[in-house]
Amino acid sequence: MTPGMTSGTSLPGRNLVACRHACGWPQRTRAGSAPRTREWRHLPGDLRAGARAAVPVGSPLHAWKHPHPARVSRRSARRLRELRARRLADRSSPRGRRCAGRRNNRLDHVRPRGAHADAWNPEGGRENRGLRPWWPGHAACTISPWRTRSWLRGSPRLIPAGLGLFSGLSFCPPLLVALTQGALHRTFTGSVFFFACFFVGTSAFFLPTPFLGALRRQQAHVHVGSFSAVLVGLYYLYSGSMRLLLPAIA
Amino acid sequence: MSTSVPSLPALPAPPRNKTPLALGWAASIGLTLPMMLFTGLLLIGGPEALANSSPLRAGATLTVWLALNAVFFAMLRTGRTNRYRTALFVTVAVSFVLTFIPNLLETRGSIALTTADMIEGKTPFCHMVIPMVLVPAALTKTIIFPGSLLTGYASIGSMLVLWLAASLTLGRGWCSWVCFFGGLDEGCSHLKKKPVIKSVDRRWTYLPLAILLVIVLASAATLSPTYCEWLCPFKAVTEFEAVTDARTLVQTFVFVTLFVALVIVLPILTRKRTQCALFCPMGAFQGWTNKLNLHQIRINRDLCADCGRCVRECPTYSITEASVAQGGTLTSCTKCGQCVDVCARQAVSFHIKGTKPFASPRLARTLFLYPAFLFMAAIGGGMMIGALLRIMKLVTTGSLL
Repeated sequence: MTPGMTSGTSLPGRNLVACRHACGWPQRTRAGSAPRTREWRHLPGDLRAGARAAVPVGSPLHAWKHPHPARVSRRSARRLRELRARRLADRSSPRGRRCAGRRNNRLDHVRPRGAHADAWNPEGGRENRGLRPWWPGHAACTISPWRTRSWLRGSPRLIPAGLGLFSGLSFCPPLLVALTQGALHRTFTGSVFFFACFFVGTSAFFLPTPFLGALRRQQAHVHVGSFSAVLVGLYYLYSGSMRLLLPAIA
Repeated sequence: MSTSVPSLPALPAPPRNKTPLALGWAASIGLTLPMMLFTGLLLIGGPEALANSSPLRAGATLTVWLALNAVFFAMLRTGRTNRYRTALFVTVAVSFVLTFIPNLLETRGSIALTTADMIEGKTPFCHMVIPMVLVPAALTKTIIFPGSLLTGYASIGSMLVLWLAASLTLGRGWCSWVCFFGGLDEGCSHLKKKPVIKSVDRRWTYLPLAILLVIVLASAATLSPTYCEWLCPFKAVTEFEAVTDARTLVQTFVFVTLFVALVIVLPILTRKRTQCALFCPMGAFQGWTNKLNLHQIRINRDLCADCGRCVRECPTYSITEASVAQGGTLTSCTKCGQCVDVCARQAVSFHIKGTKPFASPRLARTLFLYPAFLFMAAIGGGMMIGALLRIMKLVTTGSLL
């Protein structure tokens, strides 16, 4: 076992283990580097196709966040490797490329027998192309794009809503002006419409952010940006605390 | 899957006293003589100046002069760089504290800085302020520091000229050869033989860049040296604003906390220069000058056994596996010479840009040592003399002042 690898079936390459849900997607352990390149590869797609292209982005993200190495016997592991290598070679051929995505891929019917039968995924990662999975237990497999998307977008969706709520709690001058103006409408629909226009205006500042996102490929920028944000946040925390506490002390 | 690691030939034990970089007696003496001349001119100023000074001062000057040149000779003769540099560097830092605080006590009566002192421009300028003054100086033609521009003790002009010269000559070598603060955490990092904290997340090495970014922007926005006001750990042993209100109380608390954590505790626990590597914005700024100057540290991939000793021993986290694979160090390298000393295969060596790599490591090292040591002598020599005088005064009169 190479250093940094957890228990489980190793696959060719460093820090790869087989998914115990037999999804066919090689999982990276925490010790290995996260498959962020996939995420990056889809960035132009994201910009062009919007939410449609975000579907395959979810899977490696989730696979990185929740690696789940499994214990598979050495024999099964060897067979798994061989079969995957053959399948890869097969798919690399012109015929294989034609067949990819269809059920007549000639190696897809091969399955290991016995207790570890479910360690083999006959779909071969095809589910990542949006095909419907059929084997039992797939509901638990988070590689399904639809499931992953719901996983990823479930709670993070609350983040902007939470941030918006917190900004309303602070004394943000533009928000106060907007609130005052919104209150003048005296109708619910009028206020909502006013706020909708207000937030459309503020979202203009978010237009350049996808382009700034290109910098995430360079980890140094990401780290420096994160640390700077923390430092500035600390300064504002101090500044706000002192303004609140000093009059109370005095 | 078990991967078989190819077995490497056994490493020879690192030589204890001499390395292949060591020079012979004649060469060492021959190269030390010019250094004696230069340091003599810097410290003594000539026989007349020596004769005119008091016997106590003359004795201290001669002692320091001889000690400096003995260290330089030892560096050349043994081929070891870091061992002697560390001793001298720590001595300079301690000497700085020993001279600076009594000097402030004598001239101002307290190490606490009052608003009146700042208005009168009595604040000594240190190199930590340089990144913060550049942007406002360029934009508003104002030096945002309450110090003297050209005259007096540690004036802004003299420090800027010194910094510029040292940066062009040594790059970030400044941090290991000139900076009179770095010796404090380096000294603490040598107090324990083995580290308690063996690995630090490499992401922390980006913190100095973040601090640099924040303080430069904040200083330009507020036209005040933000780092000196809020974050400098060395304020705890130099000078700080007198505690008169809650703000200065918080500032003083931050200074003391950062000093204890970054200069004392973490260096002891990690055996690294944590303040220099993980906090100092001046160091991050200085890293860019590493690209300008000619001296580099290079790793010969043909000789390297990938033992990782240089990665482990680097006091500023400036060597990674990736940089070793590329045959060099990161831009944060302070050229302390530790990696050169510890490499059992002599795969790591000093290098001069534009010359054939690894052709003459001795020459490259000597050509680096000369300016580096001269800068150290120029900055630290006076401090060492001052500290020696203070110690003599303490022994003879019972008071440092």
